[in-house]
Amino acid sequence: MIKKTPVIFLLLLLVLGGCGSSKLNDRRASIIDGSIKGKIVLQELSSVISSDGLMSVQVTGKNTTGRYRLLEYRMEWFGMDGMLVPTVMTRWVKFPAFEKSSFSFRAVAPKAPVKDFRVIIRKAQQ
Amino acid sequence: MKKLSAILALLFFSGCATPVTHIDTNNDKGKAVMGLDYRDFQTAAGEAVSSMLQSGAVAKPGGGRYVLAISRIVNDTMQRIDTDQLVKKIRVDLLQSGKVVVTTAVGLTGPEDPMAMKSRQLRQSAEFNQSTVAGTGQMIAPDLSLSGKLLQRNIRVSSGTQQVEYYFQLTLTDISTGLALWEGESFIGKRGSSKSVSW
Repeated sequence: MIKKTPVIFLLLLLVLGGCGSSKLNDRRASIIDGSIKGKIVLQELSSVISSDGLMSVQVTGKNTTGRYRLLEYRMEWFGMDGMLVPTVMTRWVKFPAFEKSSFSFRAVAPKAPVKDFRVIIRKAQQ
Repeated sequence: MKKLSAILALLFFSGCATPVTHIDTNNDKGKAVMGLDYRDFQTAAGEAVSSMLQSGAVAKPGGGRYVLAISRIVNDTMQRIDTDQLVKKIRVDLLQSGKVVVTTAVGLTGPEDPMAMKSRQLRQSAEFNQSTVAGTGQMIAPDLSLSGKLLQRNIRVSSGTQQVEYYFQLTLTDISTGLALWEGESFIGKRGSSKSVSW
């Protein structure tokens, strides 16, 4: 029974590690504010194309701290030629990240089709 | 002596003046104001366009583009606002989306651009090559109408604090049926000194 303890411990570690927040590694989404790195983690980036050809992107993350934080994101869109698409929707948009909770926000492309997008996140400035 | 005084005065006053700087609209760290500024119009326009596109209200079945007419946008705030500050941003983005084209030939108080009608008077002129003059039955009537209202509410929070609430309400109506295809409201709330003016 004593010999089994390390094995059980390892299994527990693996199981609990799997339950923890998995960090997203996607060049299209990044946290640019050093003060919240590690405290705010991005977990999922999903995109769908609607029937009228517009791309919608949903970003999911988690505030791992016990403190409410007001964050903001800025989404940039790139057309099929790889050029930046200027739009009034490319602006800093505030969103809440409640303590120890997941957050999500969604953005829609300004036109169809778009090739790519980039989203940056930071602590709200005011 | 007089020259010295003038130089001193010049130095004194130039030191007091706030230097003029350009606003970095992509990263404006300027403090919020109680009134409406360009950031509020950007927020309201961005939210409206995003909501319209996400809702699918401007996606014409079978493809193609809707023709949009701008109807009445009422400014019911205490501020002197040209509602085009809001509407123009929405128009630009809707046009760019490829889903909507705006008519300037139809408006509540006459066409926004009267030249389309005016140029048709050239039909009678022998000075103009008639094949280059706009023919009859070529103008496109609008499918949709955009109307709305900007509201303001001032609330006294305490003796020294006031809360100002702004509502940007917009409606997109299908002209053929009179039904609202999309409605949106953006809220912008500000709280600050009651000494600040919001008009």
